[in-house]
Amino acid sequence: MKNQNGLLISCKRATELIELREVDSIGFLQKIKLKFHLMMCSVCKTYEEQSILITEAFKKKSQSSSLNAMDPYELKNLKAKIKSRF
Amino acid sequence: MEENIFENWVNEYTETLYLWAFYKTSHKEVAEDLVQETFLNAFEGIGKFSGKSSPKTWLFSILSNKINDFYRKTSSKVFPISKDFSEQEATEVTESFFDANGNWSSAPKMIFSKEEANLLDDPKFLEIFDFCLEDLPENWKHAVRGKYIFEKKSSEICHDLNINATNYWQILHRAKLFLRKCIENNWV
Repeated sequence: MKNQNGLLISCKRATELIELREVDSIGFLQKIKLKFHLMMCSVCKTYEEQSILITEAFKKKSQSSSLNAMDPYELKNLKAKIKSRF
Repeated sequence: MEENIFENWVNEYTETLYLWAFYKTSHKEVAEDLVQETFLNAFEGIGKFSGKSSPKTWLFSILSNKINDFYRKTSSKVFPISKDFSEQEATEVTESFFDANGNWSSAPKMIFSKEEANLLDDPKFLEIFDFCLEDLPENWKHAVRGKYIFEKKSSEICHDLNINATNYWQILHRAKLFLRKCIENNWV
């Protein structure tokens, strides 16, 4: 879908907008263009779903990952490494 | 005597120091190195420790300097050279997903989707996800981890990586394209 009359955007642009809206708010017109594109383009719709899934996978990682605690085994190793150096 | 005190400090503060360093650098190996260097410096400079502040405060001030040095020293090339894709190579890969008109030349296949309710609990999926994440160029990794895992502000990530807001979301876009394709390739 080539950008001919302003309302149509390319698939590449659609994927950019899908990510951009996670960082920043996108303008009204951009939202309409994206929505319109996704209504007609099943491939980009697939991309959108998978992109959201990847974001969710990150969130899951952040809940389970070592933000508030270290893996006990790694902590033990690191302590041993430090102690061996003095 | 001193060694005993030190051992106590290592036992008590390693984890907190590491978690802070990891938060600031989003990089496991770098964080571990910085914590090791912090203790080493502290050990060598124990004479400078006056006891006016707590050992924790003192250690944190050493670590903060180390983190600042790390970013200053390497502002153009923030991370150690890795065997992963360079940023340029990875960008070429993601550019190849589209033709000159911006149409897909390598269209996403619906082989994994959020309709599969338990995908995020599937160890195999998470393993592939981790594998693909590791494959990203270091500064892309830093950007996506910073945003999605540490929930850092965009401005903080831009500052860490010495990039502007446009570079930042372009990186996020390319990183997503790259990750998605990698998962697709590995998800059988």
